[in-house]
Parts: sequence; C-alpha cells; structure tokens
Amino acid sequence: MKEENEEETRDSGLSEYNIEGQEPDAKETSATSDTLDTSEPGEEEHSVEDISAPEPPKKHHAYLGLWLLVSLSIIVVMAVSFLEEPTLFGLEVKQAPFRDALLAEAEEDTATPDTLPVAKPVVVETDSTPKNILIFGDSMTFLLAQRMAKYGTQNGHTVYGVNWDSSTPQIWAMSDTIAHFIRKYDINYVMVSLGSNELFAKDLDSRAKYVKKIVEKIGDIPFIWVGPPNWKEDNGYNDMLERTLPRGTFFRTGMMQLARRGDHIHPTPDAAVLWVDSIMRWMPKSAHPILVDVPADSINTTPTLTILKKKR
Amino acid sequence: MEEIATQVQLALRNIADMLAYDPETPMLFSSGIFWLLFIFFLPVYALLKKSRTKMVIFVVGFSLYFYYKSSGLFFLMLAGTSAVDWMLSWHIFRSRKKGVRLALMWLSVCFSLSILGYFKYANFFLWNWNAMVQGNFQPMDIILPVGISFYTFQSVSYVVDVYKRRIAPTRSWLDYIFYLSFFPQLVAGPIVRADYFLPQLRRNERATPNMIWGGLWLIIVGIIKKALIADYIAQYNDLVFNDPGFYTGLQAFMGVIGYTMQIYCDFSGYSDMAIGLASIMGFRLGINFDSPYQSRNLTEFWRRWHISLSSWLRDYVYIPLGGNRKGVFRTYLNNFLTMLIGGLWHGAAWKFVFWGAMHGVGLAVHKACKPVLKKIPDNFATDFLFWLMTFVYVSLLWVFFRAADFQASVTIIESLFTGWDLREFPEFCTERAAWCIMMAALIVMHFVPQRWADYVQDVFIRAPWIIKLIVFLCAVQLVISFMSAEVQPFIYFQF
Repeated sequence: MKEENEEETRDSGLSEYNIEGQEPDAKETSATSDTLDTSEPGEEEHSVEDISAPEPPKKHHAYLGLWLLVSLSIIVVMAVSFLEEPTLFGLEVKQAPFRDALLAEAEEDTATPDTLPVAKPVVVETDSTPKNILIFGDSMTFLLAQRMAKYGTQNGHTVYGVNWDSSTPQIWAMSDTIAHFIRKYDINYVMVSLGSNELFAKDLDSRAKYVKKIVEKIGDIPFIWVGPPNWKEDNGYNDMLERTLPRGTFFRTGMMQLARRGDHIHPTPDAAVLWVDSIMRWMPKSAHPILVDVPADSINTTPTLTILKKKR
Repeated sequence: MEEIATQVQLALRNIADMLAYDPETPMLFSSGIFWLLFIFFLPVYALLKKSRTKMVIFVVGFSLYFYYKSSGLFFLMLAGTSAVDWMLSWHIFRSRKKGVRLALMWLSVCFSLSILGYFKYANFFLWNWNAMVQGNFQPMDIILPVGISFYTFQSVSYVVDVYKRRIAPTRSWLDYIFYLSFFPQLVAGPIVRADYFLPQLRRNERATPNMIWGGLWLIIVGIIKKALIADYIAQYNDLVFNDPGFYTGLQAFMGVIGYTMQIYCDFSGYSDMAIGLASIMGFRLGINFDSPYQSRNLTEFWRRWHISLSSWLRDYVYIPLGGNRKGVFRTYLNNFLTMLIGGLWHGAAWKFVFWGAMHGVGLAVHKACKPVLKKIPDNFATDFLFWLMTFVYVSLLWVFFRAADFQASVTIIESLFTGWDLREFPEFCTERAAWCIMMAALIVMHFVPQRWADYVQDVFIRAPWIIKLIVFLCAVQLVISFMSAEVQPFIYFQF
C-alpha cells in the first residue's frame, strides 16, 4: 500500500526527475547501501554507481579549438570597439564598451574645469542684450517653447522652437538640422531639450559621443541643456549629461515633481510653466546667463515653432 | 611612446578595477569580463584536468573568486559554512545512534537555514512584526549574498541525503566545497544534487568534443535568451509594470505576455549558460527548463519549469510532509504548503507567498479534477483548451510575481479587461517592431519540437570550426547591438 502511494507521489504536482542522462529517481538509485562509502576522510576512494555515461573522449583536443574560438572572438570584439564608427556593408556596427572600459580615466583625473559638474554656482555676468533664442529637441520642446516665448517678449528676446518628436541626441548629432536653423534665424542663444527618449539607456558612453557632437555643432553660441524629466530613476543618463556637458550648461530636471499629462511622461501645460520658471530661476547660476525676468501675466506671445516628424 | 605606456598603464589599472569586488557589477556569464577570464581559465583547467586534486583546487579557487567578485567577503562565509556542514555530515555518517544522527542533521539544516533566514528574511520578519504590533523597529542594513538560496538548498539536500544514507560524505572538504561552489551553477542554479554531481567529480572524466561544442551551443542559446531577448523585451514590460493602470487593455496584455516570456528567457537562459559551461568542463547538470509553456496542466508545468527546484521541493519538503501517503486532504495541504515555501524561496515578500500559494491551489485543483479530466477525450481541441487555461493561469500569476505589490497586480489585471481597442494593434506593432518580432520568434521557437532543437544543436556540433566562430561572433554582436537599443517607451502622437 505504501509503495503504491509512493508511486503516486511522483504524479503529484511536484516534478519527478526527467533529466537527460539522469536516473528517473535519483533518490532510489543512490539509496542502496553499496553506494555508500564507509571509509574515513582521506581513505581510498569508493566506487560509485555510474549515473551518466559520457561518450568516450576522442584523441584530438576540442579544448584548443574552443579556446581559439573564444580568444579570437574577444580579439575581434575588442578591436571593433577601438575603431571609429565602424560599418559593415554600409551599416553601423555597434561596439562593445571594451575601449571605454579599458581606457576610462578615473573621474578625479579627467575632471577639467570644463567637465566638472555644477557643484557650485558659476558666477558669470548676465548678458543683457536681446537674443535670438533657438529651443530645439524632442517633444518636450513644444512645452518649453510656449513659456519661453513669453519670457522672450518680456526680456526682448525672440524665441524659435524646433520640435522633433521622438528624437534623440543621435538624430540631431547626425543631421545638419541644428546648423540649418541657426543660420535661418540668426541664432545667438541655444536651449537644448533632449534625452527623454533614451532616458533609460545603458550604453552611456556611446550616448555621450552624440551629446558631444551636438555641443560641437552649436559651436561658440552660448547654450544651456535642459535635462529630461524623469518619472523614475534612470541608469545614470542624467549623470552622463552632467559629466559630458561643460560646466554650468546643464539644468538637471531629473526627479522634479511635475504634474503629468495622461501619457504620464509629458508635463501638463501648467507644470511646464513651473518647469520653465525653475530653469529661468537657475539661469543666473548658469555659464551663460541672459535676462530672464518673469513675464507679466498679460503677455500672450506664442513661439515660432517648427514641428519635425521622425522618419519612419 | 610615452602615450602608449600611459594608455597601457591606464588599461591595466582599469582591468584591476574590473576584477575587484563591485556590488553593482556582479560577474555574469554574459559579461565581457567573464569571457576575458575564461580564456585564462580554460587552458589551465584543461592542463590540470588530468590531476583530479589539482583540478579541484584550481576550480574551487576560481569559484570562490567568482563569488568574491559578486558578493565580496561573503565568499569566506560560503567557505566557512561549507566546512561546518561537511564536518557535521561526517559526524552524522559515522554515528550509530539514530537520535544523535537526527539531532546533528537538524543542527546542520538549522544552521544553513538560519543563515539564509537572517540574510533573506530578517527584514521581512521585522516588517511584518512592525505591522502586527505597531512597532517601530528599523529595517536592518543587510546585503543579501548572491546565490545564497541556491547553495543553501544544495547543502541541506546534501546533509539530509547523508543522514538518510543515500550518499556518503565526500572524502575531503575540497570535494564538498567544489560541489557547493561550482561556479557555473553557484549564483543562479540549477540546484544540483550531490548524488548526481559527486560521482562525476570522482570519475573526473574529460569532456568529449560533443560535450564541449554542445556546451558552447547551450551558452550561445543562453546568451541570446538572457542578454538579447529577456533584457530587450524587459524594457517595455517594465513600463507596463511600473505604471499600472495607465495602459490600455492591449498594451497591458502585451506587457503581461511579454513578462511571461521574459521570465522564462531570463531564468532558462542563465540555466542554459550554466549547463553549457559545466558541460565544457566535463560535468552534466541535467536540464532545468523543458519548454514549460507547452504544458497542458499545472502539474506538467512544474515538471518542466525549474526542474531542479521543483524536484528539490518534492524530495525535501513535500515527501517529508507526508506527500500523498496521508489521505486526500493532507495531499492537497502538502502540495499547498510546499508551493507556499517555494514561493517564499523566490523572495521575501507576501507577493511571492501569494504566487506560491496560488500555484499550490492550482495543483490541488488539478489533482482533484483528475478523475473527471481522464474522461474527457484527448484531441486537439481539448489539448488546446487545457493548454490555454494553463498558460493564462500561469501568466496571470506572473503578474503577482512581477508587480510591485498586490494592488498594482490587481490594477494590471483589471486593465487587461478594460479599454481594449484593436485599432491600436498596427500602431503598437509599428512603434515596437523589434519587440513584436522578438516576441513572435520566441513564441514560435518555444513550440518547436525538441527534436528540431536537438537537430540544430547537432548541426552546430558537427559544423566546421570557422562556422562555429561565425555563429558565436554573430550571437555576441547581436547582443551588443541590442544592448544599446531601447524599446520606444511611449508613442508620440500627441502633437
């Protein structure tokens, strides 16, 4: 009766052994007394029932082949990581972060005045001349530009917005859109709003590359970069921006409490007003302060806005 | 010249940093640093394999280093507890008095479980205690050593097996710690039984070419499952689970199905890598996942899902509780309790307890319905219906496993039944094309007959070396490419 029940036990929800090369019930297999070693530690080894029977080894050494294969693969992947923008059949080849990992300098070594995070406020005299301000970036740009237009009217600036939905720094870095709009509107001040669409990226070093390219494209024009509003902690994206951008040019929106629209990512129009006001309060501490007095309630200016669509 | 010397110096310093303990970057089999070490490990292992003692010392050293890289000085705890268990196992084995042996067995089991309990469940206990007595205990600052749940279960089964005289203790402590700390399965299983593993260690047979190349194939499959598919599809699933209630019925449905596949790829992918690495070293660990979502009932599911854990629970919890030998009610109760413990093993939170309990309930219901189910004709329609019921039940329970809390789980499940609009589907597929393709491929692959998978593995094993190299490189490059790709977080059609 007991045996029957034990057999039924194997039909319970808990699985029985059914592993390739393994006995159906290892417990029963190994419970026989002849598998037991009664010797003391250090005595002669006992024989043990053969549970699995691997096939006989061949003479040639597969380990050598495997070692060569793995070593060669690592060499190839490493070599590719050292190439500048490698391509294969015209397609970009993504790089493993070997190069960055191997040649990354410790922060204390690389922290030049230009890359130091904004630990202390930058004291720079405010430029009181009127500006042609270009705000460009992802879909957050639309929200920022609405309020900035009012700041522009109040302070004598003209605000132009270029909103490219779903865009990332990479798209802007690889196109000539920035140069086009700088020329078109004779821009002498830039606000960048990018990062929301790659906020949770993990390959931060390759992202930093595009951020640097955007800074290059902006050139000598004073600029600030408005960081993306997080709705949860990122993987170091904001830290990367802070590290990569010149001191005093990065406004960290981060975990700022902003009321969200139904999509849970874009701030509501009211929250966007508060957001821009926060940026403007920070402006005097930035590397490139300009006049940003709070606009009067009566001002109802709308920005000159260009909406770009992502290529599909 | 000076610049090159500086770069070399910098690279050496960075390599040293990478080799040091860093809780943020545990050494995973899919990481570059592991493979860099592996190319040094492999030739030494191959050379030392002839001498069993030298091989054991080398592998134990490497395994402890592997553990140090993930858990720091906790590797000393692993070594220490293994020494205690090994000594106790010998006392158990040598003693002729049943009472003494039983007491020593319980001493060892309690010792192992108390360490696990402290690190894994102390704060859970405190939190519940606070809630019950309105107390004000602060949670303790406890770091959970990586893999402690796995090696604790291994040590418990070892001691119990010695007590029951199913196995003899290992001759030396080195053999025992080799078994306990064997790096391929140290941090995430499978939970290997001593009676299966130790004989292989004693024989110390060299891996055959089939084992080596088959192992590499499993590693490739595991890397693709874990580092490519699971990590990529997780990005969308995370959005759904981090913001319950926001998404429409279709989006939530995709998130739930996505998580069902993600957790399978994650767990089984890592298991595949572990089994593959062990195979390269000449050890068989058995299979741990056997296309679990093909199951047509919950009982079958647990025979296919995390096989090493479910069989451990059967042998060391369910059967000792009485199994099905004490009547129908006790059988159901034992099933339920076993799954409850299985749930708690997965994590110190009530959501895991609930998840385990519901699996226990499901198993009991299936058992109770068996007489009726046997009368139902076995055809494609009934097979499909039972498969669908099982898949839906398992998927819904994964919601409780993944969501932040019970309320979030309920909200997500509610959203599965509201706000459906199939017109969203083309838009969803367009915006998340890679995600959809990956999911479709995954589902198709999951239902491919095992013999097809075996055939592909066989083709790989027999393929020329250069083909193997290309396949391996392609897999690695795929992982690198998708490592930096994101699923579109939100669809931007508002403007």
